[in-house]
Amino acid sequence: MSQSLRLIFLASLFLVLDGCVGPFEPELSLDADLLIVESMLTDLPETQFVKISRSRAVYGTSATTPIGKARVEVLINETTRLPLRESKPGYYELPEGFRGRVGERYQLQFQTAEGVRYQSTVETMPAVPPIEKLYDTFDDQGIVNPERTKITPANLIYLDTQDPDDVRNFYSWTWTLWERQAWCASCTQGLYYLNSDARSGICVFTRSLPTNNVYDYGCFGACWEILRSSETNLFADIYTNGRPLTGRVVARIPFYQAVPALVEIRQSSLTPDAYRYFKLLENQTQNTGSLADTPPSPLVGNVRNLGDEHENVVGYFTASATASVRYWLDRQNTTGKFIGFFQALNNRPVNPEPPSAPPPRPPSAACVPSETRTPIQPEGWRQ
Amino acid sequence: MNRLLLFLTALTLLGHGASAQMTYGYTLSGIVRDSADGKPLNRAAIVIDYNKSVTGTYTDAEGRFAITVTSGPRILVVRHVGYVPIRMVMNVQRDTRLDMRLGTVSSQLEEVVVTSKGFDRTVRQPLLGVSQINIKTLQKLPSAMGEVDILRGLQMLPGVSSVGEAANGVNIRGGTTDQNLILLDDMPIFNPTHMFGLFSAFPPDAVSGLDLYKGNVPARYGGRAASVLDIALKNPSLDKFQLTGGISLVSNRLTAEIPIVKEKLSVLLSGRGAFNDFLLPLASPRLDNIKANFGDAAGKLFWRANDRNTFTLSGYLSKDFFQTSLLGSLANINATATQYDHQTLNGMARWFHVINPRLNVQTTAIIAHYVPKILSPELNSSNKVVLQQALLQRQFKTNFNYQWTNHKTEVGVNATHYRLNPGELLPGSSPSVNYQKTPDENAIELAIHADDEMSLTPELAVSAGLRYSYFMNLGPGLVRRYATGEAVDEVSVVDSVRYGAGQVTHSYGGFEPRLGIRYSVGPNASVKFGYNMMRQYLQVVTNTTTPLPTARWKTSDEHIRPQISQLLSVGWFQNLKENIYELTLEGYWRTTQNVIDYKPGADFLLQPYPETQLLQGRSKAYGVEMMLAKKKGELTGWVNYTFARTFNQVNQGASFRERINGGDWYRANYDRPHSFNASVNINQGTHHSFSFTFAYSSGRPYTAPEGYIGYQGRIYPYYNERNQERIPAYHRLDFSWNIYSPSMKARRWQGHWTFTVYNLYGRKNAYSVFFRTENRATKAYQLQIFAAPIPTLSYNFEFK
Repeated sequence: MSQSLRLIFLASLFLVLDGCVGPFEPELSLDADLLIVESMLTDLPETQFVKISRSRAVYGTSATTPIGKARVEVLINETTRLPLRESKPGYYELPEGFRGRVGERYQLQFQTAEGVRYQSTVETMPAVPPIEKLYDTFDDQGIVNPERTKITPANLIYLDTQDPDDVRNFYSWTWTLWERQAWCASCTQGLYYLNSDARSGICVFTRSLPTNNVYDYGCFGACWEILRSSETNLFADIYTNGRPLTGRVVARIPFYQAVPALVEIRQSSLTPDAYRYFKLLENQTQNTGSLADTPPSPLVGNVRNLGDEHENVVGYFTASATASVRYWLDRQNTTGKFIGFFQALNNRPVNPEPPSAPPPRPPSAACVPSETRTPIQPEGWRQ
Repeated sequence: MNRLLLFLTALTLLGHGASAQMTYGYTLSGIVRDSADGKPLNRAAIVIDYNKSVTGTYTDAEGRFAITVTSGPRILVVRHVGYVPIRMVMNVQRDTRLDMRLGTVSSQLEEVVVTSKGFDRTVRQPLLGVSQINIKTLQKLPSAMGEVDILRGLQMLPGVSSVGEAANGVNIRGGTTDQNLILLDDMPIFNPTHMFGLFSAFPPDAVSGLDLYKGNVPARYGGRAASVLDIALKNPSLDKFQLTGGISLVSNRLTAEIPIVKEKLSVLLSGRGAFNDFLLPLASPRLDNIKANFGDAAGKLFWRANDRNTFTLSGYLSKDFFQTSLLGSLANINATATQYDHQTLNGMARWFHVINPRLNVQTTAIIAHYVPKILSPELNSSNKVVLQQALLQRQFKTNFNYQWTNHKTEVGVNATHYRLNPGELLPGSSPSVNYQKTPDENAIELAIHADDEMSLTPELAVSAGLRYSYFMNLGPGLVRRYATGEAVDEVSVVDSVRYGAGQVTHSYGGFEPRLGIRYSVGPNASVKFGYNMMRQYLQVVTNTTTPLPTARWKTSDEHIRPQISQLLSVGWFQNLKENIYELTLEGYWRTTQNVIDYKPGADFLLQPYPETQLLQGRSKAYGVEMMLAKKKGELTGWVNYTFARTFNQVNQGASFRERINGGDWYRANYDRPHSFNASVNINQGTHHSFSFTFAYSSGRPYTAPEGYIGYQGRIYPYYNERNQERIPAYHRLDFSWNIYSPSMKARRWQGHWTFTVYNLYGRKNAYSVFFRTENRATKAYQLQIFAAPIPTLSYNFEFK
């Protein structure tokens, strides 16, 4: 039998074996009714918060609603009680200026408006070693979706750090990316007008345009889009205690445009139980689809209903020290094609309003600050 | 007779059928008789060119027929119910007379399909749930990618299922994969597949056949809770050199039987290898991170010292190396890829001694060594961090067999030593990883057994056996004590005891009664009853749907109790139509104590105290199996239907971490209520056979979310009840066409082509359904293994 025939067969066989993931439409009966507590106190100069919400099945789908008007407190070292302020529904902030400290013990206690009392376990903020080095490589198949239908080239950012040998360490990594944004506004069946303060603008409905017409407007001044990691990345030093940790992939930054970008890598410490919780969450939400998955099981967090042992509260209250480094991703190592930043975010090409006059159109659009956008040059940005 | 030519002529003639002009007509006439008694056969069909309506007739009461045929080569077929048809090509140039004799189907030698041992033993033997499969049957079954596959063949039988196409083992009557004792010439096999379940790990040319005990298990077998799969290596021919082999698209095979001293000493050597994966990146760059090589080899030396003594040495080697993105990576080892490497090296020596014509003794020494590894290549380095495990089993046993006038007795002793290395992390030159080792486990399992099979009356036969097994977990080791009434974890440790080498840390033991009763209802039918108890002291601890080759094996100890299984079965067995058909109907009920499950988020790797990760519970399984087999004739095969359920219950304590599914019964991962299998083999003379197999089964259960939660800015699924949904049903049709000896000449070298299409209608069967959270949302997917028809061609040869 000729080798080439075999080769073709083997290749097709392995392609069959490696790529056969398709969408599935399950018929689910959703009936969970769950309290969700989300909070991770850090030592960073940021607002520290506790989010409380409830997930309920509504018309066959799950809806999450905030739980407001609760009395929420954080107990520090079993002595100091810090009351939290509800700044928006279900979002409770610790007093301004509060920072977590390594070695301090924290416990969450709260009582809902209905009078049900909850309490977390006591969590001690573990120390975190500094990030020693960040570096990147380019992979033209850096991000692949499960069906292998969408392959996005990406820069892989690697991290080196020195694991301390005196304690067990549990790590978590996240990233934030600032990309240069050239397009600041889009109007559906309308035209954009910049307000006189140049900080905002409006879309004015225009009947003469088709209903599905979308015009895009370039930015007035510099603008950055902020993207954040959506994956959990955890590591325990159980096999590597006291050793240098090298070459850990901590970010896969999609290659949408060739201009440089800024990435912040955060290295956080986790308590052993928080690590176990998030690892299980990762295993049953991210690491699925192998030939031998682990059947998923209920996630049990560390917040308990003091009156009902059987209520399962989702989420984990914990404290984590964080080391962060900003990395300039110059993208000198990238090759091949990219789809364009606008296309990647909006899944369509740019459609600028055609120039016209008088008055001269189109105008530039304001870069309105939000969770995902800023006109202020991020620290570490290079011109 | 030139069958291939016949077949090709038929194809050609059928192609022209309609345009054939009846220019010259000749009369073909004669008498058709029974070959044994010469009686003329009434209404035997005479068909020319497979065209019954135009050129066909029947014989009259005297067996006479006459039919008009046109000149030229014509295909004549003569058929009669219950007789083996005659097919021939004849060139009719004048009026012709032809007398023919047909042989009965029932006088044919049995085409062994799947049956109990020997002629109509299914009905007579006082054992139920015993299947014997001849390797020739397996060779005719359509195989995936041209590899004759024992485990896939077994799944065509009732009561044998798996979690899917990439299952690393089979589930028999509600048992887990590690509850099957798989023996290859008495050598235990701990990982029965290559390439993670795609191929069975048994060299097909070296195997002569196999016995599957899924109901009654003779008392000489022990150590596993569900079933015994006893695979026999061929005995090498003592008088003739033979060479067999083959080339398929996946692998190359060669087997030699070499007589060294005629009638005294001979050797069998067999090997198979698939090492083509280095070519894959040439075909597609997408394949450059896939690696898949495997091989296996078996050898057997047989020495007939004299009429009273024979000696056998057998050996088996199996090796796999693979890398695919479909298997998870090792958590907490920072690596660029994950590679699996596992090897089995087994050996067996047996002395068979005939003391007198009624009494013989068989003494066997066995060694089995299984070494699975996970390799983690590091970034910018040629170093690989290796996680290695090892399982060494050494065994010695002796059996005495005594044949009385109307019963036979077997007694034996058996001693097994296990040494397990549950995990050892070898950093190599890695600067990042520490050497780590989980303490070795040592254990001894001793057993004595007696078995007796007797006929009490012509109707009633009984097989009664008793086994006593005794298990000792041995030091050195540190055994923890946990606070009673509390969950077994790091917090509840109250004390620990150190045991020295050879000290017994804990022991278990008990009787394992085995009983089979047969009552004949007439000469062709019987009812049977069976009861079995089996104890299992060595098991796989894994939390995946099917065990990885690297799953950890664990001996029972103070905290992990042995699994004890009891099986009750009843059956109806009937031969029909002079033993041409065999009908079996069996029902069973099985309960197992101390089945193993795991706590949420459990991790067994390098875990010195696996009891902190495990839970034990119970399992129940029940089912009804129906099978009709046609064992003789041109068309052989079987159909079967199985209804089977398996449920587990784990409730060790009140907390979430100590119970599964809130302590309620839940479906096992392989609970598939309905299965239907059909296998048809059509022998077109000695040169062709066609086979079709069809398999249907209910989808296996999976755990679906009961809600979605917004957390960390993402939408995650929330799971609660275990295995409450099912993946879509599985079904598949396969086809194979075997062409034997295309040259049609009786030569010493015989070639044989097999053309196979696996999954003929390209059903996209789901292997699993899973949910993945990506870009802040959760989507559902299905994973498919063989989602397209897979045609293959393989060549096999025999040199005698």
